[in-house]
Formats: sequence, C-alpha cells, structure tokens
Amino acid sequence: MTMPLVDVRVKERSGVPVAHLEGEIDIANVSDVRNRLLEILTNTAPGLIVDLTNVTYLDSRGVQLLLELSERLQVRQLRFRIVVPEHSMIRRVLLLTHVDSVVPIDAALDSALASIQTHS
Amino acid sequence: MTARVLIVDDDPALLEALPGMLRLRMPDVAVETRDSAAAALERIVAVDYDAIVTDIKMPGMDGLGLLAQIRVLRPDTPTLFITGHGEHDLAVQSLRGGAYDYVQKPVDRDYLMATLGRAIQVRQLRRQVMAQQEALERHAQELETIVAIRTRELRETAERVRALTEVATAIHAAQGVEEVLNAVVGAAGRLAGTGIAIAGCFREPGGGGTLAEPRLWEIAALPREMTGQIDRQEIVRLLAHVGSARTGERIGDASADPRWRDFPPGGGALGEGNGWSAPVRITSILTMPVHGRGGKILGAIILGDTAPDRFTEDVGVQIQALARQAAIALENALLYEHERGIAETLQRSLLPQRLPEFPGVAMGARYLPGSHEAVGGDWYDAFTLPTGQIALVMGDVAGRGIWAAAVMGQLRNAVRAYAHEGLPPAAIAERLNRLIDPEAMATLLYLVFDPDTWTVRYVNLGHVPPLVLTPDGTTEFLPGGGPPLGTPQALTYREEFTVLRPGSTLVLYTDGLVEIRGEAIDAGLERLEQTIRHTARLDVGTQVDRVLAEMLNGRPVGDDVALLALRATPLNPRRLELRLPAVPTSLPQLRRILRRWLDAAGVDADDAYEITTACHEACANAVEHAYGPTDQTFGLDAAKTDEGIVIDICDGGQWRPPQGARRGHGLKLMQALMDTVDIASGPQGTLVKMHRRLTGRVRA
Repeated sequence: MTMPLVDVRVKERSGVPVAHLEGEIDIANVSDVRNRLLEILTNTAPGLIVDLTNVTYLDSRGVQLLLELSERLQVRQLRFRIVVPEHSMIRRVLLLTHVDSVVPIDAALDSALASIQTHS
Repeated sequence: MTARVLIVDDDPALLEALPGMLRLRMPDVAVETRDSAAAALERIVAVDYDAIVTDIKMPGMDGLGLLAQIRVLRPDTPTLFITGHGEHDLAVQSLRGGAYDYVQKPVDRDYLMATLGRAIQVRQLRRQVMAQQEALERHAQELETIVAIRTRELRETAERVRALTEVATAIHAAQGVEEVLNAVVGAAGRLAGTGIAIAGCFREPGGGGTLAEPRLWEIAALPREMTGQIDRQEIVRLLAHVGSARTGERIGDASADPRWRDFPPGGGALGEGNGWSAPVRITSILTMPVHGRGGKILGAIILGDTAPDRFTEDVGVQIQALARQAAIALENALLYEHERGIAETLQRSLLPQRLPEFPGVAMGARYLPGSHEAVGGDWYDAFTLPTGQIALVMGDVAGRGIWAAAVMGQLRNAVRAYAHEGLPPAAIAERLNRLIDPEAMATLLYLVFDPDTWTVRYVNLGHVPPLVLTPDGTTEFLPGGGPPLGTPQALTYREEFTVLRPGSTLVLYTDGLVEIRGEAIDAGLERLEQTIRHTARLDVGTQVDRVLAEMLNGRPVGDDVALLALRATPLNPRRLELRLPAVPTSLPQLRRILRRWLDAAGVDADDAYEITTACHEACANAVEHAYGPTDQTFGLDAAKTDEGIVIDICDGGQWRPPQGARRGHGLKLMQALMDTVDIASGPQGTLVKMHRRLTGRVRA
C-alpha cells in the first residue's frame, strides 16, 4: 500500500533530474520511494539530485536506499548529491551512519546543482 | 265419512227399531247395538265411536254407570241418554255426569236424529281439529328439529371457519420458523380437539442434506413440555416419513401398527409435573405432510389422541387445510430467515472486529440489530489513519435487508479507502455523495481525532449530532451539518472543527438509540445527555453498556442501534506501554505516540527525535526480522526515571544477523543515539533494553 506519508515529485533543473521528497521515509514506504527513484535514472542525464529538505524522518532503510543509489550511479559514472538543510532533523542520522563519506551532502539545492554542472 | 254409533238398551224392541230407523234416515252411519252396559264397555274399549246412545235404566250397570266409564275411556265421545217418562231427575243427573243430551220415551225420532246428527258432527269436527292439531304439532316439532340440526351445523361450520381463520391469522402473524410451528401445533390441537400434536419443519440447506438429519429439523410439540423430552432422532424419522408421503393418514389403533406403537417417542416418559398423570398411550394418530410450492417437502404434522378412532374424516380435511396454511407461512419464514441471515452476516462482517488501540485513547462500541424487522443499514467504524489520527464513522442507510447492508458495505469501504488516501472530511463527503447508489439515502458522520492536537475535524451528513462529554461532566452536541448522502444536487460540504479538552468523551450513535415512536426526537436527545452525564465516571466500555441499557430501558429494539464512544486522556508522563502489530505500518504510529509521550514527559525535541529514532530502529528490526508471515505483535515499555529514559522493546522472535554490506545501520544508529543498548536473544524472543540520560536539556 502506498503510504501518503511520503510524496515524491521529480523536476528537471538545467538538465539535471531533481527528486523532491517530502514526508517520512521508513521501512513502510522505502520500497515505493526506491521504485520511483530508479525510474528516473537515465544515462543521458549528468546525475541525480535527491532533495531531502522536506523529509522529516529517515530511518536506516532510507539510509540504505541512499547508499544503494550511490553505488548504482557510480557504476554508470553518474553524479549523485543529496540536499539536507543544516537544521534538518535527519542530518544527524546521515552523519551517524557516515552517509556523508559516500554521498556529498549540500545544504541547499543551488549548491548541489552547481556541483553537478561543474563536474560534467 | 262413515260415522260409527253404538246403541245400548235392554229393550229388544227398541234395539230392533232404532238401528233400522237410523239406517234409513242417516245412511252414512254404521250402527252397532249391545243389550247391556257391560257388553257395550267391551266394544267401547275396542272402538272409538262417534256417538253412543244408551238407555238409563238397565239391569246390572245402568246408563249413568256406563257414562262414568265412558268419560274415563272415551272422554271425547258424546253420549246420548234415552230416559223414561217421568225420569226427569235422572236425565238432569246424566247431563251433570257429562251426557251430551237426552231423549225422552216415547222417542221423538226427529229430535233424536237431529241431536244425534249434531253430536256426530261435533265429534267428527273435534276429531278433525285434534288430528290437525296433532299434525300441526308434529310438523312444528319436525321443524324445530330441523332448525336445531341446521343451527348446530351452522354453528359448527362457523366454529370451523373461525378456528381456521384464527389459525391462519396466528400462523401468518408468526415470524420465524419456530413461532410458526408453535402456532401450527396449537391450531392443530384445537381443530382436532386433542392435546397432543407435533409439527416439524425441514430446513433444506444450500449444500444439500437429507430429511433424516435431525439438525436440519425444527420441531414444536403440544404440550410444550414435550418439545424438550421427545426422542429427537426418532421423531425426525417419523416426521420425515410423514413429510415424504403424498397424503395424510388416519390410524384408529396405533397399538396394532409397529410404526406408531411407541408414539410419541420418548413422550411416554412424561410424568407428573407436566400435566401428565401417567405415561401416555396414544391410540389414534393423524398424519399430514406439509408441502410447499412444487411439492417441496417443508415438514409434517402428527396428531395423537388416547381414544381409539378419534380422528374423523372431517378432522382430516381440516388438518389438510391447516397444512396448506402452514406451508405458506413456513415458506415465508424460511425465506425471511434466509434473507435475514445473509444481511446479518454481511452487516456483522462490516463492523470492525476490534477497535484501534491507542495510548491515551479509550474506545467502546456496541451494536444491537433490530429484533423484529429485517436487518437495517446502521454501521460504525473506527480505524487509525496513516497519519496517526483516529477516524470515527457512524452511518445509517435508509431501508433494510440485504440491499441496505450492501449499500452500507460500499460506503464503509469507500470511507476507509478515501480516508487512507489522506482526503479531508469534506472531500470524502463529496466523493461519497457522487459514489452512492442513486436509489439510496444515508446519513453519515465522519470524524477525525488528532491525539497530538486534541482537534476533531468532522462532517455531519444528516446524522444525529455527536455528543461531547467534557471532563467537568457537562455535555454539548457538536453543531453543523449538511444534507444526507443521496441528495441529488451536487453539493460541497463544510468541514466542522472543534478542540477537545483532555479527558473529554466523544459519543456517536444512530437514531435508534434516541428515537421512541410517538415522541419528539428532542426528548430522546435530552435523555441521552442526561444518561451520558450520570454515567460519566464509568470507563468507556462500561459506560456504553450502561447508556445502551438505560436508553432502551427494556423496550424492544425495533430499529438497529449503534453506539460508539471515544475518550481521550492525557498520557501518563512517567510510563508508556504499547503493544502493536508487527507490521511496517505500525512504525509511523509508534513514532508519533512516542514523540507525544516524550513531550508529555518533558523531554526536549532533539532528544525526543533521537530517542524516537533509536526506538524505531529496534522496533523495525522486530517487524522485519523477528517474524514469519503470521499475525504477531511487539511491545514497547518506556519509563521516565531519575536516570533518564529507559526503554524495553520485546518481541517473540529471533533477530537474524544483518545481511549485506549496506545493512546493519539500524543497530549502529541505536548505539550512537542511546547511552546503552543491550540485546538479549533467547528462545522466548528478543529483548532490547536501551537507556538515555537526559542532560540539562529537560524542560521544567
């Protein structure tokens, strides 16, 4: 069952697909989120940005998902960045699980976009 | 007509002369003569003469003596005297003695002829009158007899018609197979004039089944006490035998018939205390099959009586008429039971099996199906939304039976589906109004209670208003509402809003609870308020029971009644105990409750977030690893102590070691976020004990 606790909207910004996630991501809906994100991965785009600005909760399965995405993109030589504001509650979870050592975290969407475009 | 005259005289000359003269002058008269009173009496005894002429003076018995005898023997026969000259005194004496007339000697022939002729005429007229009178009396008597017979016949016919009419009325007024059968045995006993009757109805199940199966038979007996005492197996065998026969049977001497010798089976054991002074010996039996349309076997009637040859052909005809009435009533009752059964099953399956359990929220619900008519379309529902809010539904589909139950099912499922999609109350109402069967009409109350904010958002679509009982014991009805569902115009509904004070109780119900026929509904609503107020101190479960009992107050439940109450209380800041189904959807709920409790316990938001995350990870492990695909639960026990927050999470399963390189973050998070994490796994399950100190950031 699709849980309305999370909403996934995809927009393209300057040729880069940006997935705006909103709500709570946990074991109950992580596979739905995963399916939506895998759908938008293409070889033509320079990379993927996942915007977690409006995500209020992320559990260890969400962390796993981010790590998996990172791996898949790396194989295809695509860039992957996530956006998490400084004050976000989930930032501590990402740091505690060392996601930042694998996936670069930007505090704002603009800087994430700039990073991807610079490298492409 | 020939008249007969007797002449009595001891004078042979006169006996010669008179008859000759009479024959000559009165040819229609047959004359006999006797020469003494004694000889005359002999004839008078034998022959009813029209007149007697006698001499007064005769040897032996004289004329007066003879007259006295005649008056006794033939009081209506006129007697004429012939008296000698100078016997005037005797003549007068004879008249006094009852003589018709007298003639003096020498006989004046003309006078004698005249007076004799008159006497004969009078005699004959009188005889004629008497004959006519007798005939008349006889006729009258015959008429009376005929009238009596006809009256009796009429009365019997009227009695029979009345009895049959009464029987038909009683049978058709009866609802349900059992009532019909009881009416049938009562009627059969009355019609046949006996006190022993058994009637059975065969409930043919959908999947087939034979007449010989006792569980498929409903049986009623007269006298009532016999019902529980007869040998069921044996009576079913007899009823099946009678039911499968084409016609009924009359048996005059049951002792000579091995099938019926021991009838009623087991009934012989009826002793004192049942109105039976001695074991019953039935001699007369009357059987009658009860067949429905197309000759379908519906059941059988068996009558018994202790007297031999008790049941006449006439009684047989009446019981046959009774069986026809019984067939119609039983067919209706079976159809009714069948439909009611479907509707009840449908309705029951649509009511929630259990109410959602939520810390700080106590709920109670009762549902009473209407007793006398088909099942109604009332329903209630209560479920937790993915957002952690609690949805309450109370609805009432107009109409009854399977159709109403089906409409109710559609609405109930639609409400659940729209609610889980996250639609707000007004949007749900609009969609339901577009969805509902155009023929249908329903009232609906949909409320969403948010335990975090104590707010209630709701729509009322033509339903009786929900009631709020505040912690001070006052009550108020929640205002606002729109027309019921099924109102043709496309409508937009307005969402209503209220905030509950902690400790308040929300009460939802259907009109069956407050409506009494012939009473204004306001009176019922006022009674409900009073009842809710004076049961305010009871826990919710007990309160709904009491409210139901007091509101109905013993009156029969005509309409369905549904009652649902929710009481929201603040959480205990020192302790939280939770038990949730081990499914992923429990986890968002767990986080919300935990955050609410940590807030109540005065823990600051950042600490609360981290503790919640650690608990979530432990519980997610319980959900993900601990169980097979069966219904299981996990428990969380949280306490605030001087050392901080202590949490135990237990489940009945075994944790599996993390698999894959990317896994194992859960445990890492738990360990990073809590001061201590201990995991004890044993055959009984796994217990995770966690502790988190609260350092300085605890709010006052």
